[in-house]
This record gives sequence, structure tokens and C-alpha cells, in this order.
Amino acid sequence: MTLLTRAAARRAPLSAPRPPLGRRLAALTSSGLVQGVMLVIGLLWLIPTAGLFVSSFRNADDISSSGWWTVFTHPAQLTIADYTSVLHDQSIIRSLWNTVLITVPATVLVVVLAALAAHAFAWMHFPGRDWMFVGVVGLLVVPIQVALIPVAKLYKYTHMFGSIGGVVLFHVGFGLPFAIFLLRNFFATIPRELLEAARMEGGSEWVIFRRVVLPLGRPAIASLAIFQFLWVWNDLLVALVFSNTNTQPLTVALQSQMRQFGSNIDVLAPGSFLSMSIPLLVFFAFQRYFVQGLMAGSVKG
Amino acid sequence: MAQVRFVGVTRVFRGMWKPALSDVDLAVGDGELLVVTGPSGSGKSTLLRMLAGLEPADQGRIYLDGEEVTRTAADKRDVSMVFQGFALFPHLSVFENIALPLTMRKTSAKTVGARVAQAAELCGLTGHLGARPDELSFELRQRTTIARAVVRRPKVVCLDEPLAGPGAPPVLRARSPIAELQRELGITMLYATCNITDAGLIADRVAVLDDGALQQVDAPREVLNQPASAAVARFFGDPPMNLVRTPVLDGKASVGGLVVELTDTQRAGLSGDEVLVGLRPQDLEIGGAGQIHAIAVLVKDTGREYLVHARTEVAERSVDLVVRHTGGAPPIRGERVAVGAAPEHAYVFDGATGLRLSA
Repeated sequence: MTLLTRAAARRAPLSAPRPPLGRRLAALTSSGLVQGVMLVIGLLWLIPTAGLFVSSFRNADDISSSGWWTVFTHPAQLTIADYTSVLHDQSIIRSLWNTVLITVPATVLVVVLAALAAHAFAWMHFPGRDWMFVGVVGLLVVPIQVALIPVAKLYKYTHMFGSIGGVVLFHVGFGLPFAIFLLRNFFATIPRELLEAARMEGGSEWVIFRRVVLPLGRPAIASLAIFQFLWVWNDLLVALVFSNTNTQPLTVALQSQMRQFGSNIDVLAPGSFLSMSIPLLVFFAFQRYFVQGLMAGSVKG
Repeated sequence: MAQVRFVGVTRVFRGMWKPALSDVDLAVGDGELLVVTGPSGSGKSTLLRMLAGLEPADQGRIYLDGEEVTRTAADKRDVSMVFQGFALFPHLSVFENIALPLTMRKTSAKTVGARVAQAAELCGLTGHLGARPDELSFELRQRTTIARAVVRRPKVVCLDEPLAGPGAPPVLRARSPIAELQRELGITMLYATCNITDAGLIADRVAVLDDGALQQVDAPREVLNQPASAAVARFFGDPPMNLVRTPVLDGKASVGGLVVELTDTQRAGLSGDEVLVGLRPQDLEIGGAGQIHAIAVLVKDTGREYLVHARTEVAERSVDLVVRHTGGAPPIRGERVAVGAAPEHAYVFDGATGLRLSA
């Protein structure tokens, strides 16, 4: 050791250097105390929803007379009468069916059309392709409210106002830009050589789409399907504007209940959880693909 | 197995001002293993892809077995391709990957099974047919992609740098199975690679491309000993030939004290007044009687010999000569050395065109 290094060692005591700020913050947040606090806050946030869930198992008189927390001391209050009456309510069942009739075609149409369009944008060459794609992405910016009145006029003219098909078409129209954008970017990450290998074995464009792009694009397609399903299932605005009492989905039915009868929690609560349960089921069923989809294209070996 | 012929083939990519391939004339014999080599970007892949039908020819014609295939679709040409990245379908098993050319053409399941088993055996894959590509090692994946290429017994197989890529084993081990397979099946094969050791060891002939232009097509030995142009000389050889630019004065080109006298034919072929004198590292000697005075700037010990980089000045320019030194102790860095060569070992290349001026 030279003279200088010896002097430097004497001045600075031997200790580990301080870790950078980011790492210190991460260590802080993963400590038990902070995690405990976060857990408590999370639980606090869930309390209203939990309360509603409990209320869905109480009858109307109990709901209007006492708070839901009394259930813990008087468990006899619990009843499934609310659920049975809701399930027997024709208008609610009708609206649930409408929701399915709207959501499933909207999802299927968007996924199918977007996959076809994304393949064309990613792998086929035609004049104006890039400008068209820019146009599609630009449409992402258009807010729904802007299109409500023009489309309403159009539907009135074509007698589609109040029909299921009208609602579906509107959802398809507004769902496509994001869908095409998402799928096209994912499809573009498929190595070109894979498609060329298939092309060399006599694959027509359609065969390549079916046997190469679709199987490899499955994570992104599944994610898209989930996104679209959830969005359309929970939609209120479009349905409010474009459906009538016969074709209204569950969201609108519940909302009109709220308007008409003020506080009939005994219908709203079971109705809401009914509406919530189905997308949850869908999500858990497809969760595997969803998580894979989030990593879509991040690491390509 | 078939003959391939390229006539005046040119390819210009959209947006590039220089052709990727310009006016390439090349003939490949039936059952020949032709290695297409050259520096990166010289057009090797493009040439193979044009034969496979994946790139159109902007000019020129391509013949396969006497028939013109320039406009034929890729799947109708009976040419198969082994891509640089392998292009194995990750969602299919090895069996399904190899079977792809057959299943895409609606072959009966029985035939598919038999042909795939045959191809797998040829390539040593019999135990792995059920696995997925991502479970296999690099070498097995390479064999799968080759098995896929030969399962239909095509006329020509094009291999685009099959040994490049992550996980590639030492080149020495992996390339000979390909050569063995080719010899066994007698398929005409075009093999593109940047690696000159590959070229030397397995090729029947070597085609050297540089910047889109075909420089030379010859047996490996010929290309090494009689390079047709400076580009070939610069690329071939391990280490490559030293090329020194020097003016021609009075019919002579000098590198330090080494004087190379140009013959009449050489002088006649000269287009300007400069030549590139080519001196191979193994033809140079460090010794007392050397004509070129230089300083050793770097001495590398390769285990077999020493490579001495000797810096000298030629025509007011500093030049590093690489000398292969086998006899005795090497010079140390900074030492003055004398580099000697026999003038008859020197190659002369035209300074402007780069073509070799033969004596």
C-alpha cells in the first residue's frame, strides 16, 4: 500500500457504504410495520363493500331499521330471501340475460376483428398500411361522449335505437382501436422467420394466421378478451343511452331501481353482487392467460 | 439434388442506395456443398433467401435444374431453408416441427410418421421427438431444424449461419454433422457463414461475397492461395493477409526495403499508380536479414506460434504488419525488428479495383 492509500484508509473507518435511496425505501416498505399498516388500510377500504355484502343477506325491514354490523350479534337475521326474490324478479333476470347478450357478442366480435386486423397491420403489405394504423391509434383518443349524439341520430334513422345490436355495435366500434393496437404490437414481436418458414411450406396467409400467429398470440388475445368482457359487462353509459326497458342490461336495471325506489338495498345489494360474480368467475378462469399476457413480448428469446 | 444457377442476379432493398447483391453469376453443381462467405452485410443471406423464394430478384434470373424459378412461389420451388434463428415453432413438439412441411401439404399420417422417423434418425433425434423446442439444447434444436429441412428430400437446402447465435457450442464439434448429412444424402447445399474455418473444412467450393459483389468462387485451397481480389485476401486467412498500399515507381512497388518488381502483365493490368502488396503472415520472417525495418508493437502468444505486430512506415503512412513467428524466442515490445520476405511470395493487387494482378 502506498502512502496515499494508507492515509485514506486511516481517515475513513471501515464500514459498508450506505445503500442507495431506492433500496432503502424498498426495505422500509417491506418491513413488518409498514405492511401491517397497509393491511389495515386495505381492510378499512373493504368495509363498505363487506357491509353491502352482509346487507344482501338481510331482509328489507332489518336493513332500514338497524346497521349491518348487528348481524354479528344477531346472526338469525341472515336470510337468502333477498337473493331468491331477485332471482325470481323477471325484470332482473331479463336484464341479466340482456347483459350476456350484449357482452358476449361485443367481446367475440372485437377479438375476432382485431386479430384479423392486427395480423394485416403487422404482417401484410398494402398501400397506406402505416397511415391507416396511425389513424386507428388516433381513434383511441376519441371520448365516448363525443359520439353519443351522432350515433343516436344514426340509430334513430336506421331504427336500431333501443336494440341489443345497437349497443353491441357501439361497444365494438369503441373497443376496436385499443384492441387492434394491442394485438398488432404483440403480433409484430413474433419472429419473422417463423412466418417465413410456414410460408415456405406452402402456407397461405390464412394458414399462417391460423397455425402460427394465433397460437403464439394467445396470451395477448386472452388478455384482450378479459379486458373487453369486463369493460362491456360493467358499462352503464352506453347502455343507458342506447337501450330501452326491454333491452337494458343489469347495470341499467339496478340503476333505475335506485332512481325509482330510493333505498331498496334489499334489491340492489344482491343484484350488484350477482352482477359482480360473473366477471370475477371469468377473470379467475382466464387468470393464467391474463398474467402471461401482461408479460407479453417483454422477453423474447 | 439439383443444379442451381444464378445469372446476373441483383437485389436492391427499398430505401437503400446500394444493392444488397449486384450482378451475381454463380453456378452450383449437383450434390455440391457450396459455402457462401464474406464479411457481415455482404449479401450472403440475401442470396440464399432469393434462391428460397423469400426475396424477389430485382434483376437477373435463377435456375433450378435447368428450369427458371425466378418468379416461382417459395413453396413450389422445392428448396428448403434453415434459418439463422432456427424458426422452430415453440408450441409444437419436435415431431410436429419436423413434420411441418408434410402436414402443411396434407400428407397421410402414416407417411408423415415414417418420413419423420427417418429424418429424426438421420439427425440423431430419435429419443427427443416428444419434447418442446425450449427444452432442448442448442445442438438438438439445430438438428431439429435440419431434420425439418430434409424431411421432404428437397432439391436444395439453404443454411443461413446455422451455427451463429446464443448457446452455440464450439464450432469444431457442431459443423461436421451437417457435412456428413449432406454427403450421405447427396443434397445440393448452400451454406452461408461468416466463419472462414467453416468454409475451409467442409466446403466443396467457396463463394466469397463482398459488399454485394461476387469476388471469387473456387475450392477453399485456391481461395486461400490465389485470392482473386484484395477483399478476399483481407477476409480469408487466419490471420488475414497483410495488405500494404504503396505507389508504383518505375515498375516497382516497395515496402520498406522489400522491392517487388511488377511483371509486364502486371503493369499492363494496372489501372492507376498504386498497388496493394499482399504479404501473408506465414511468409514473413523476423530476422537479421529482413528488408523491412519495423518496431514490434504487440506480441501475441497463440499457443502454436507468436503473432508479432510490427509497425513500419510505407509511403508516409504507418502500417502494422502481422508476422507469424515460429522459430525461437519472440521479440519484446518496443524492440526494433527486421521483417524479411521473399519478393516472389508477395501478391500484387490493383490499388483502385482491388483485383489481383497475376504475374
